[in-house]
Amino acid sequence: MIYYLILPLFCLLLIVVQTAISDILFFGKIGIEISLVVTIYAGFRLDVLRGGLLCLSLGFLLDCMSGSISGFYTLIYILIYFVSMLASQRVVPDKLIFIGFFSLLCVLFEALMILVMHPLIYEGDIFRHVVNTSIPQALVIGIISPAVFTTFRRVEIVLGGRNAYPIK
Amino acid sequence: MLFPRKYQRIIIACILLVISLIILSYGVKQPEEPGVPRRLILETSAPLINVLNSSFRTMSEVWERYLFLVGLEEENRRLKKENARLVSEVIKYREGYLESSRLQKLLELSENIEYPSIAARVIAKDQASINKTILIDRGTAHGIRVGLPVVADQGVVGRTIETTWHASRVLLLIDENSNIDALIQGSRVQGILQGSSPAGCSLKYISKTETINAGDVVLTSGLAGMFPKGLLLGVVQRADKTDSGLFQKIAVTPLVDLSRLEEVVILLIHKDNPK
Repeated sequence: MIYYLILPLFCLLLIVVQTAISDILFFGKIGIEISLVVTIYAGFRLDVLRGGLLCLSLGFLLDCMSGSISGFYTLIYILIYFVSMLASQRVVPDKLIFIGFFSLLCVLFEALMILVMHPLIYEGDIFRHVVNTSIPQALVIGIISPAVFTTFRRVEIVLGGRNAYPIK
Repeated sequence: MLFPRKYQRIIIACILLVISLIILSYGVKQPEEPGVPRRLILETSAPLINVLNSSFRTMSEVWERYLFLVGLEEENRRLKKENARLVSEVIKYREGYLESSRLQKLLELSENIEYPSIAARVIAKDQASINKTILIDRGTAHGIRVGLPVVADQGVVGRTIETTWHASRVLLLIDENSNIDALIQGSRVQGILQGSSPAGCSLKYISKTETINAGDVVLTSGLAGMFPKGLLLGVVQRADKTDSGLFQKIAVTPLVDLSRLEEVVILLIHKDNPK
């Protein structure tokens, strides 16, 4: 129950912090979507209700904070969550290289989704903009995601969650 | 649970997907109307973002200031070094200016003197020892001989007593072994100027009947042939007639400041023909 109570606050703080970090480090030009890594982590580690609600919250908050139309990132995050969940049923995400590579692919998938969905909702061509921002963002996320995963694993162990499997 | 456990995951996934699609369709339908949840979220997050941004900015400013201070320290070090270099350069230029002024005076002196002359630099001073002498950087190779008069812009310095190829020793007029034929400019009374005391001379063999006043100028008389006539030697400091002897006791202060002597002119005159 506590999980569902602190979930909105956690999501809000996460989005706010990642926006601030992105502003400070990259002047808002490259987004550091830690929320995306959290979504992937949820897909790997959390059950469908908890993970799904987490991703829904994160996506909706990101919509609110980024100024995009409501439901835009919500849908993308839900889809990424499902992709991660499906991937976790096929492979055991215990290697940092795999985590990094999978996160990189997820960012590219997100970019692809934006490119597909954007013309349906908005006008204008954002192909160049998405390519210019997504590739560096994918690289950044690919690099930081193993560290974020490791941190979440440790937090999970400290909070007395399920027995954590080792990340190599 | 409401749903059978077998389909629970799929059903929840479908519900979540539907919710997200509903949110999206609502957003697409009413893009200008943000909705209460969105407003609430923005209202809540705005102060948070402000606090975070200001904290990050403060940290960033502190860091930048620290970096600036590091840079400032380095710049300060560089400027100090440059300042030292410039100060030494200014000193060098000032020294050059002073030297040129002195040389200018010497040049004027050389031009005023009717004899051939050669300028020399004082390379050593030996006034603390028994013999009060200076060493100059000109010797026999430059035409210097023993016994030549040495002058500065203010007056007579002494005479050469020893020469090598490229250096010469000059006996200063304040040395007790120095004797120069002299006369008082006003009264034309003649005497011998002998070195005495640490930095002075005494004019000897002046009769008590002569009136000598403090401030009278003493010149070379040119009688002995060593010094040409009319070179400035010094000024009378005091004349004392109270002594029991035949002559007055006259203290003369040399016009040349021998302690600050740096350049001199040697007059290349022939002893037999000093004019």
